Amino acid sequence: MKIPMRTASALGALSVVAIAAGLAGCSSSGSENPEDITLTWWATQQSASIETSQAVWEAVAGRFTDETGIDVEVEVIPWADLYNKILGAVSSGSGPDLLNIGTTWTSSLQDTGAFAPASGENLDAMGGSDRFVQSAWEAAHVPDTEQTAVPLMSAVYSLYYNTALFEAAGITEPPATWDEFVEVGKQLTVDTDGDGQIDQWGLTMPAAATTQNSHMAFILGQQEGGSFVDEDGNATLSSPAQVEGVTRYVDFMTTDKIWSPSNAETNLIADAVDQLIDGTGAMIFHTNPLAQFASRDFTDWAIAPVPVDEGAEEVRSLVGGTNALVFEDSPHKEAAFQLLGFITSPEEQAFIANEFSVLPVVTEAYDLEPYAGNGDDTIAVRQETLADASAPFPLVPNIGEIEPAVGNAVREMFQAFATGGDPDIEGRLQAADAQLN
Amino acid sequence: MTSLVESPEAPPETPDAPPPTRAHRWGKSLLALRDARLAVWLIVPAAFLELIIHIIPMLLGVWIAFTDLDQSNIRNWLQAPFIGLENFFRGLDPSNAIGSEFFATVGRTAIYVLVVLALSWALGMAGAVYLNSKFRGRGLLRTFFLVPYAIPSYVGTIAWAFMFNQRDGVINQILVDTLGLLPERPFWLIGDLSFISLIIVSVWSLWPFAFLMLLAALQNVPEDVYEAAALDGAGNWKQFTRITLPMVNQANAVLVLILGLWLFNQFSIPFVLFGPASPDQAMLVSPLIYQNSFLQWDFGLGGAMSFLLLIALLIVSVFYIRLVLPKGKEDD
Repeated sequence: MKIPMRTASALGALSVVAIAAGLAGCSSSGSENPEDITLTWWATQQSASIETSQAVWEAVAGRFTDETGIDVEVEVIPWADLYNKILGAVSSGSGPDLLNIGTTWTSSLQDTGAFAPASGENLDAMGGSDRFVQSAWEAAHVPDTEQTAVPLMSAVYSLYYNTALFEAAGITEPPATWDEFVEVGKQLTVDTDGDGQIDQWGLTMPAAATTQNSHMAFILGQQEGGSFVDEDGNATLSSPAQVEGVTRYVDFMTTDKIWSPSNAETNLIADAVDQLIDGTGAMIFHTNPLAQFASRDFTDWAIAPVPVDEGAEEVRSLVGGTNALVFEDSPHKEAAFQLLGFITSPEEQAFIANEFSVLPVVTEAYDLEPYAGNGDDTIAVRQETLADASAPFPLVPNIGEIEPAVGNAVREMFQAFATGGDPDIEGRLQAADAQLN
Repeated sequence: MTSLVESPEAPPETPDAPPPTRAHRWGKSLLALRDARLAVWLIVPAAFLELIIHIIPMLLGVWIAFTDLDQSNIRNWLQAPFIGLENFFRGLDPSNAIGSEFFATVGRTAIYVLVVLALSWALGMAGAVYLNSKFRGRGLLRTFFLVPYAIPSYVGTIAWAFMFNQRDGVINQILVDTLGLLPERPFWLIGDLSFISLIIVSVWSLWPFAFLMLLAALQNVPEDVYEAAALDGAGNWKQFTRITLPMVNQANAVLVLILGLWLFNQFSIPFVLFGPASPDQAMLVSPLIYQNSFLQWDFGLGGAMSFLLLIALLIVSVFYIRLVLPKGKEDD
C-alpha cells in the first residue's frame, strides 16, 4: 500500500504487461502434434471454494487429455478479479487460449475484437451448435454480429426461502405475486426475542452489491415492460417502467419494511445467504445458493419462481450463467474449440451440471446420469424459468458500463435511506443515464 | 586516505594543511571519477527497474489521458484515438457531474491528508517522547506500538471492517449495547460517519511509522543537553519545545513529505474497508480514479485524473523539497 504514485502506475500496469509480453517474444506455433500442445484455460469459480471448482474443471480437462493427448492447464479465477484480468490479457495480447466469462459481459468483451468467432471451421471443431438448448445459444449471440461466445452452463434467479421460518409463521405456500410477497414478508418480519428490535426479516439481499442490484433492477424493470437500453443503444434506466421496477425493489426496505436497513452495507451475496441460513432473513433471490447451503448442512429450504404480477411481463430472471470465449491470438485455436466442444458434450455437461448444481446448456444432458435423477428438486423450477420466463441481458457493447452504473445507483439509494437520507430513485437513475449517454 | 598519484615534489601533509598542489588536486579528481563510475554501476540496476516499473508506465498513463481508450480499442491500445484535452475538459469542468465530483473529491482528500497527518504525527511524537525515557518494560511497549505496522495493512483493515459492521460489529456493541451511549446503531461504513471510520483506520495503520521515524531521531539527541537544560530550570514542556522539536526538525520534514504523499494516494484502506465502491462521503482521489477506470471502463478519464494528480503532487513535492527539506552538504 505504501507506494507513492500508486494509481498512475495502476493505470500503467496494463502496459507493463504488454511490454513484458513483447520481451518474452512470440510463442511457438505451427506444429499441431496434439502431444506438443498445452492449452491454458481460465475457468470460473462455480462453488463455495476455489479448490472444489479447480477439481471439477481439472477432472473435465483430464478426460479431454486422455481422449486427445492435448494437455490443459486449468486456472480458476475468482469472479471479482476476472474482468480486470481479461482486459489485461486483451491489452497485452497474451492471454489464455480459452476463458470463461459471465453471460452478462458477452457483448462488452466481444466488442474488444480479441476473440475468435464460433463459426465456420471453429464451429466444426467443436461439433456444431445443434445440440445446444436454443435459448442458451441465442443468448450468447450479439445481434448482427458474428458470434464469439459459447454457452457453458445456465443459471437463473429463483426465490429461495427458509422453510422453518415459514412453518413458524404458519405460511404454507410461497408467494406468487408481489402483493403476496410483501404480505408474507411482513408476517416474517418479527422481533423474536421481544427486546424491541426486529431480528428476523422477510427478505435478505446484499443491497450494496452492484451485481445483484443491477440484476434485480433488470428483472423488475422487465416485468413492468422496461429495458436498460432503447433500440439505438442509449441507456434508458430512468424510463417510467424502469423507475417503477427499481421502486418496487427499493420499497421492500424503505416502505414495506420487510428488509433490514443493515443490509445497505452488505456487499457480498454470501453474507445474505448466511442470514437466510441463520434465520435472520427468510427469503432471498439467488441463482445458486445450493453449494453454500450444503457446506453448512442447511436443509430447511425450498425453492419457488421469482414472483410476477398477473398481467405483467413474465420475466422472472435474466439468462444468467457462464459462457466461454477463445482468444483470437491463441496459437491453438482449433484445439481450444475442440476442448470447448468436449466441455459442451452431453456427458461432460451432465457431470458439470451435477457438480455445480447448474443447468446444462445441451438438451441431451438433461436425461443423462449423473445429472438426471440426482434428487435435485430445484431443477424443474429452474428449467421452467430458463425456458419460459427469462430475458437475455442486453447484448449491447456498453453493457459492461451499464451494469455497474445501475447497480451503483441502486446501492446509493439504499445507503442514503439507511443513513437517514432520501433514496431519490428517479434522480439517481437519471444521473446514471446522463453518465452513460 | 592517500592519493594514488603523488608527485615526488609534493610536500608531505602537515597538520598546518598547506594549500593543495595541482598534482594533489588531480589525484583527488581521479579518485572522484572512480567513485563516480562505481556509483553509476551501483545505480544502474535500480534505475533500469525504476524505468520499467514506474517511469514508462507513468508516461503511458499520461499518453492514455489524451486518448479515448475504452474496451473497444483496448486490444490495440497504442492506436486508441487521440482526442487531445477532451478528457481534461470533461474531468475538470465544475459544471458537469464528473468535474464537480472530481473537485469535491480533491478537497475531501486534502482534508483527509491534513487530519490523518496531524493525528499520526501527534500520536507518533507522544509515543516517541514517552518511550525515549528509560523505564521498565520499555522494549515491550515499543514492540507493542509497532504492531499495526507489522500486521499486513490488508488484514488489519479487514478486522476494522468487521468491527465497524453496523449489525454485529464490536464497536456498535460497545457503544449501543454495553455503554448505551447511542439509542440506535449508527452506520460506520456508509453515510457521513464513513469518513470518520476512514480516518480512524488510516491513523491506526500509519502512526507507528511516524513513531518509528521520530523515535530514531530522538535517540540521536544527546542526553546531556536535557540535563543541562534541567539544571537551568527548564520544565518538561520547555525542554520539548526548545530542544526536542528543533533537534528532530529534519526527521519531521521528511516524515511529513512521505506521509503526505502516501495519504494523498491512499487507495488500499478505502478499497478494503468499503469494497470496490467507496461511499460518496469518504471518496478519495485514487479510489475515484479506480472507479472511473475499472468500474466504468473509462480509461481516458481515469488517465486524465491521475495525470492531474501526478502534476499536483510533483509541484507540491518540488517546492517542499527545495524550501523545507534540509539541504545535503555540498562537499565531502
